[in-house]
Amino acid sequence: MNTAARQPQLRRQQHVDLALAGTLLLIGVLLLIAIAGLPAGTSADPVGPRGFPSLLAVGFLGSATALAAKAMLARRHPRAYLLASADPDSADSEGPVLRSRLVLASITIVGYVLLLPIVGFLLITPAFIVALIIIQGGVATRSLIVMAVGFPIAVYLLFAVLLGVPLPGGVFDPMSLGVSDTVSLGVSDTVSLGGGR
Amino acid sequence: MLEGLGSGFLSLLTLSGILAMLLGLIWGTIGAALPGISGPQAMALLLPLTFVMDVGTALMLLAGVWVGANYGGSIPAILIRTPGTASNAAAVIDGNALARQGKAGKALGVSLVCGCIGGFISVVLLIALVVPLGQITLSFASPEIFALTVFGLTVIATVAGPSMIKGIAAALFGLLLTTVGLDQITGAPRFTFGRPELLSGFELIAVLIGFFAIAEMLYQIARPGEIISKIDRSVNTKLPTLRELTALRRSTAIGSGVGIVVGMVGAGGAVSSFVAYGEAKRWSKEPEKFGKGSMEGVAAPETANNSDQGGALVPALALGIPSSASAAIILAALILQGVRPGPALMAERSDVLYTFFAALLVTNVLMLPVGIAILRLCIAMVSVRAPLLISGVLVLSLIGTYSLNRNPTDVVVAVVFGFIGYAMKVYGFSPAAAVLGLVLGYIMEGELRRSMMMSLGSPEIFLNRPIAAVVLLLAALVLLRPLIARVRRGMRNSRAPRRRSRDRI
Repeated sequence: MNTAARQPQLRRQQHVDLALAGTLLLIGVLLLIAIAGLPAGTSADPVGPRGFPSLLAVGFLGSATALAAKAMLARRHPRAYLLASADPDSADSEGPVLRSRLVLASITIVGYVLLLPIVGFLLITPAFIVALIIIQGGVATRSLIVMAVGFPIAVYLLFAVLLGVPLPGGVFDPMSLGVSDTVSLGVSDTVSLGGGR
Repeated sequence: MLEGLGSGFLSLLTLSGILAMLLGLIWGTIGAALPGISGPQAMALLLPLTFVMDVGTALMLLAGVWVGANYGGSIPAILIRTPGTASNAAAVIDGNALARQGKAGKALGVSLVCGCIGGFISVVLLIALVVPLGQITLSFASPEIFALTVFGLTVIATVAGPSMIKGIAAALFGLLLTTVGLDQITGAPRFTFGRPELLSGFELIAVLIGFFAIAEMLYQIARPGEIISKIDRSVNTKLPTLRELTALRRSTAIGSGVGIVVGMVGAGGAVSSFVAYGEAKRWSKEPEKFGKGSMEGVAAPETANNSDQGGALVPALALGIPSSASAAIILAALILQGVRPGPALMAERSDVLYTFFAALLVTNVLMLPVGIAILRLCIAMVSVRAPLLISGVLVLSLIGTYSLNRNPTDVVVAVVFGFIGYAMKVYGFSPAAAVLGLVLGYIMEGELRRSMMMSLGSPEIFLNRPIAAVVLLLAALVLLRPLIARVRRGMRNSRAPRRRSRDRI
């Protein structure tokens, strides 16, 4: 690619990186504000709950500054800058980005997650699969029916029957699929990333 | 060591153990053969199932997936020029050239056998290194462990993507997530914003599934690949003869060496297979055949790709520092089972480690018959249309996450991190670096705070202890590497004109 052809791409990448630097800056600043409410270190625990997040906030601010500086100095080494900014999976990212598909699929996923405890797994999953497949351009009717009906049954057999994990039954049948004791937003008793470990 | 390994082999001899390894191999091979699903994604999707297993069986299953995934990705790479995973991209060059010459079966056979050899050698080396390393690191205290976590994260963040700054930012994001929940020393809530469901932090597996599976499916929806219309279903695996294998010994040895070393530093299977391909070509007696259908061109990258697994597990199991996404998932599975990874792992749960080592050795051997037997199934699965595959993976991801605690909040967490992971992938922030931050964050903060308690608040403790100081210095050098390289380049460039002008005089 020659220098002239590279210019619009360079400008676009600079804008993207400056916006990303702004996002990192925002995360750093918000983190600093949130840290202010945490207890400071004591003689018994000099770092305290505030210390580690403070270091991370400094890291975010540093990354934001470095990214912004790199974007602003991009004109000095445009080729190296564009190479370093390339999508790591550029090989499979060629071709158009279908944003409308992505938005519709995202709405469908969010809808599925929200409706799953209410409607129940066996009723909502076929509708979810049909919607997702249609959003992606569809497949042959026979494959669609087999997938929409067969796959939820297979997943149900795997989880509910084989592994003994009750799946959400929804309002229509709260007892048979064991949902009555599952729709709980309480603290889980299993391993998590934070204090629960 | 041999006694431990013997009991490890004995623990595999259960129906559930053998089934777990076989299922893992089959799922790993099929999963990686499907474009869009890589080894870590195939492993992440199975993590919820490990929750109902004992730790040994869970590790046998994941060992099977890991080994299977290394081979599975080469099937579409050889047959249709579409690598199932990035690690198999180098196999496309000569593997597909051989397929076009009607030697697809032989190329698949070389990939399978050399991969198994590479995987087996790397696991033997892993066992040989982890046990003595584990004994050395037992003497490490909090400052050394903190320094090691900093070093591990620095290395991964700098090699995780094309931009080091974005790699570091992604790792910082992973670390930040671990600060949510009850503070590990004082027990006070931190960044929970009054939400009781955040008191125990984010569910690790939900975040992993979001980052790896959901994010990738969103990426596939937004950027659909080409439809696979024609694939030769009559191909059969043809194993190489002993004479052919002897002829491939040089490239297999190069692949093993490169894979193990690159795996240890965490550069990943894609880097190791391309480096091995280049080195095999350089040392080959017939370099002109590379790119036109050379068996050596298949053997070297496929051996490296499989050897990578043993290399990546050395720092993960000896030090608790994963150097790849797959190794991070193994550590996540251990955490899920209540086993704490880190230098004390060998002393506290050597039974678990030996079972895992034995499972890795056995699955590398079992891969041969399984790989031959399920080739047709893999080819059939590769032909499955993407919309069917994506919707299936999404249902499995969401229901798998739900099954962990039967808690809808976990599903919401997985979806939110799926969207975040998608955005990170699009804008060049490596989700793998974030996951490594996630796995290391809790250990890193704990050891930092304990170190500072030991020194009564003086950070000099990291400089006064030689091992910690050296490791932190190495981390600083890794971070400053681009700057050092630029300064050296500048000095070379400034010397060059002077030399040229002297020559003219």
